[in-house]
Amino acid sequence: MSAAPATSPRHLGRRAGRVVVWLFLAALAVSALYPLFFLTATALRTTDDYRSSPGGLPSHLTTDNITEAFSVVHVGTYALNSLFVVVPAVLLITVLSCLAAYALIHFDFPLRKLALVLVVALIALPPTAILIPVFKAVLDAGLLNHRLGLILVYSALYLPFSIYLLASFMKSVPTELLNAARIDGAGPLRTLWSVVLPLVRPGLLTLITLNFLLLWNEFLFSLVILQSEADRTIMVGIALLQGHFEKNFGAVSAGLLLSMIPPLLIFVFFQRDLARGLTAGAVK
Amino acid sequence: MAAEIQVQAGPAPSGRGAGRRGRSLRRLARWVTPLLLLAPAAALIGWLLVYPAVEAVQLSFTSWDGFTEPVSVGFENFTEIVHDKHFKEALVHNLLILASLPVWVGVPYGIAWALNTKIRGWKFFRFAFFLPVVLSPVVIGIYYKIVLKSDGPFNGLLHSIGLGFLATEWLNSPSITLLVVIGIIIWATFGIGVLIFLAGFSSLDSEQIDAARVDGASGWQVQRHVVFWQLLPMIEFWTILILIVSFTALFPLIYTLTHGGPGFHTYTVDFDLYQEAFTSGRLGYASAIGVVLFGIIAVAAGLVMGILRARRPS
Amino acid sequence: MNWKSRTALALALLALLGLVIAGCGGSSGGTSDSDGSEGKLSGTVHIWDTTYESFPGYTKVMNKLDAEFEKENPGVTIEREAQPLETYESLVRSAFASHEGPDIMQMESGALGVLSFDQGLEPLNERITAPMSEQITGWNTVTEDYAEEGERFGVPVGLIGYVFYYNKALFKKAGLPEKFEPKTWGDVKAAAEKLKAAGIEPFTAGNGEGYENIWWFSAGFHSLDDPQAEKELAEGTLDWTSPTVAKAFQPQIEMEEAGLFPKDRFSSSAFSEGFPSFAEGKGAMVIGFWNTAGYWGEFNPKLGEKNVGMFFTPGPESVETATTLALTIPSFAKNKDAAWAVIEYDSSKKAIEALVDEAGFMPNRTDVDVPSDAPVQETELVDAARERENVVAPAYMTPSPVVFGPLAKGISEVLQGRIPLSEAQEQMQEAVEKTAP
Repeated sequence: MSAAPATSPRHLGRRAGRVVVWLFLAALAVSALYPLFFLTATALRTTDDYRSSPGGLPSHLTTDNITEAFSVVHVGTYALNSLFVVVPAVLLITVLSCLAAYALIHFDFPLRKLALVLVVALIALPPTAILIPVFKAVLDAGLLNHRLGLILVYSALYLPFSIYLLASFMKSVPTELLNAARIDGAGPLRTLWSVVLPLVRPGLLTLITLNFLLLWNEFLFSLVILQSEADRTIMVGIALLQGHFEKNFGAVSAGLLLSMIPPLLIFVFFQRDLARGLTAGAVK
Repeated sequence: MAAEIQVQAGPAPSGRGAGRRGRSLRRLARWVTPLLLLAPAAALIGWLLVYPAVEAVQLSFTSWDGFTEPVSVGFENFTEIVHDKHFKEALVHNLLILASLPVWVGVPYGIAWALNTKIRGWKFFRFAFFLPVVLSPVVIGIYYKIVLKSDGPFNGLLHSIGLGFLATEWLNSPSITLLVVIGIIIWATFGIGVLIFLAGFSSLDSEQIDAARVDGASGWQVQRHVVFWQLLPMIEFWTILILIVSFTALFPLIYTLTHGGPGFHTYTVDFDLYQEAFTSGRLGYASAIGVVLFGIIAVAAGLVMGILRARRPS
Repeated sequence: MNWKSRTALALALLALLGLVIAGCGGSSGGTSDSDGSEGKLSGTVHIWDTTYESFPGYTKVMNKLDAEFEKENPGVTIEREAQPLETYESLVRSAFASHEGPDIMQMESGALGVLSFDQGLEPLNERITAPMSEQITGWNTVTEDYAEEGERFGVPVGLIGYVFYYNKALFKKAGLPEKFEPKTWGDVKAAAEKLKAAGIEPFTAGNGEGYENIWWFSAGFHSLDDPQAEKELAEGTLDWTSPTVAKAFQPQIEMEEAGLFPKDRFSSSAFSEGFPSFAEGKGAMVIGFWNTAGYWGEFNPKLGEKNVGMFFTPGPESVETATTLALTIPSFAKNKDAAWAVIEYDSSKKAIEALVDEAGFMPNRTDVDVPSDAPVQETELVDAARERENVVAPAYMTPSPVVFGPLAKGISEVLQGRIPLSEAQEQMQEAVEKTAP
């Protein structure tokens, strides 16, 4: 791009700049990865070994903690329970927010602006403040201790945010394309499916990943709505693992590692799709 | 074709179906489709968000211990909030966290920009940066409590690179700990911002950029004048998101990391809400805090959006 | 198939799966029928248990007891749900607010548990039999105003208290007696200074969370030996800004000012660092519990039973004690009769014996003794509880908004010289006034 020769100060300066940036990114990546190593190392050693050097390497490895996490505290069951709640919730959120965002952005009807403002305002609702009223609503509907109850609560909690995110992405879909679709005789749903969604695909995938993650780590509503052992989700289960006094770090770490696998898998899975969307370039 | 057009919303076809009845039918048709699309989401939100929120507002005018019936106390809760030392301290802390917004936005933006240039290993970086987001607040709390101990790895690192004089008790300092917590929060969330901005960078309108380049704009100028504006919806979204996170979602992290300490120096409003509701059992007062919190967030969000929108070119 | 159709198919299948699972998922929770018409117990008894599954010994004992109870009462099914302790309050309050929940709620004794929620609990006086009343000890931790007689809201299980541990070998090294029985705090301080002079860390401590402030306060308040102050604390009329309360904080403050605590105590955790440090011989004294955690059971294996000494709060003749758990019945419980039967069973001689033998509990029944092969510390503690007057540990009588706020955190600030004691005391008084019913 620059007309200067390859070894000019400006060019070298830019190269040095790139190296600095790369080093900074690398340092950041190390700081981001280290907790993973820490968890793995702690999960594979006894508590005494851990205490002798908390930040260091294990002196010898053991799989006892992993076995304890699975057999004594049924971490596997909890993870499955989380899947049974989070996956349907994410699906529900995705479908409903696509429809709603589409309606709010690409149609003009009275009170549209008001609806948009309301949606954004709802994102600001502190969940803790409505814990008990929501609990009562679920109870009154007979859905306490029912997975469906928690699924619906999760969906409601993250719908405003999802609608807002999708709306941000949908705003940039050019109206010519929409008009072209209409002229071709496409109904609203068809337009949504064939024109709008492909264009906002990166945003959609980001949303799915994000919602999965946020719901997977959710604790408070799950604790209160799914009160029984059989339905317990993973984060509540881990709170149990910690026992009263954080004595067995190894088992807790093993449980935590396990709890990280599904969100990571989702991210990896969608990262590939995201990447395809990114490299395919903008659809202009 | 005319029949198909009639089914959708959009500008009503002119001429056909003359008369008032036809026009109001068409106006109705304008409503129908979006309403149908909105209905399921609206129903769910109405039942499980709006209605409980209204109930919470009603509760904020009562005193309720959770056992007996709520007792109406008018505006007493709100006047108490004004005099509540802990609440005010918590609010100051939240505002300080808010003040770090530029960093909180700038870091993922800059990183996404760097990654977008397909720097070596960018895919790996994108994966790595997302890892802190996957970590639950429990993990982050335990992890940093160990790393930031006065004789822990972080201070060890500082010593080894000759910056030993900086070493201190990071989580036990009235002045610094809040900043440390903010840093950790940014660390724990920037991966999402990177994803969002990367998605934005990928959907840039290349025509505009090429046009600007042809006009002789430098890389930096292209960023400022073309890319930034195209990315504005994403910037706005991310800003609003972290603003709301900073007010409503920090509780689990602060609970495990510092429990509001040392003293009350990392106490936040949503922490206060939880304490008042569940530890002290003052559900009416806690609802009032919730209402005030909501108001503050709404004002802050409105301000932020106003600032961002005002900068938009006509 | 292009990506869109594939994605659509995958989503549709997942959605179907999700609906199916959502439909079948969820247990019936919270429904229990009570059919006392034949005088026989029936139905399900739901229990929320915060100790279950967290402690393996206790879990085994309760599983056995539950199975045996069900055999003896064929119409009854026990469903014991483990619940996390840390955020238990949010669960409990949600249950009370909606009048929906288990038949038995296990709680902590005293102000941190049963007596915070007593407005939602069933008073049990009518059900408690005379033998129960006589043989079970610790009733004052579940009774209104911590009195011996009065409205009782739970049945106590397990004996617990605070005690100081000291490392006899390290004491010997510093020229201190092997049998250390301080009569005043000054004695403790003098011993600590002698240890320091000998190059030994006087106390190991982990006060990052501020728990030690609570325990030292309990010992300090107890050492005032002031029945009037204790009565005021029990009845909730104590003036937290008073000089009496200030005196209760003095022991720890003086030790801190004399530099007798480890330097990093405010960034160390009590349970995962402070206690293990003592077990590893890194310090000569530590304030701990009678059982469960931070106790001889953790120290003896590493230091040797002969090496672990104990001393009580210097001064009073009485010992400060409490109970480990309280079994309560919420007023909205659906199956109260069966629930009571379970509670009676779980606090019976058989149950307490099992808990003592296999779960590390200490007996709060006069007809249960520690096993003959019990470590010397266990015997000594139980004997002390039986021979001396028992005072409810002040920490257990302190309302939780005070305990976890100004007490735990405010005192840490005082100890580090950041705020004056009077300010912390004012915060405590405010916390009490705000939550007074």
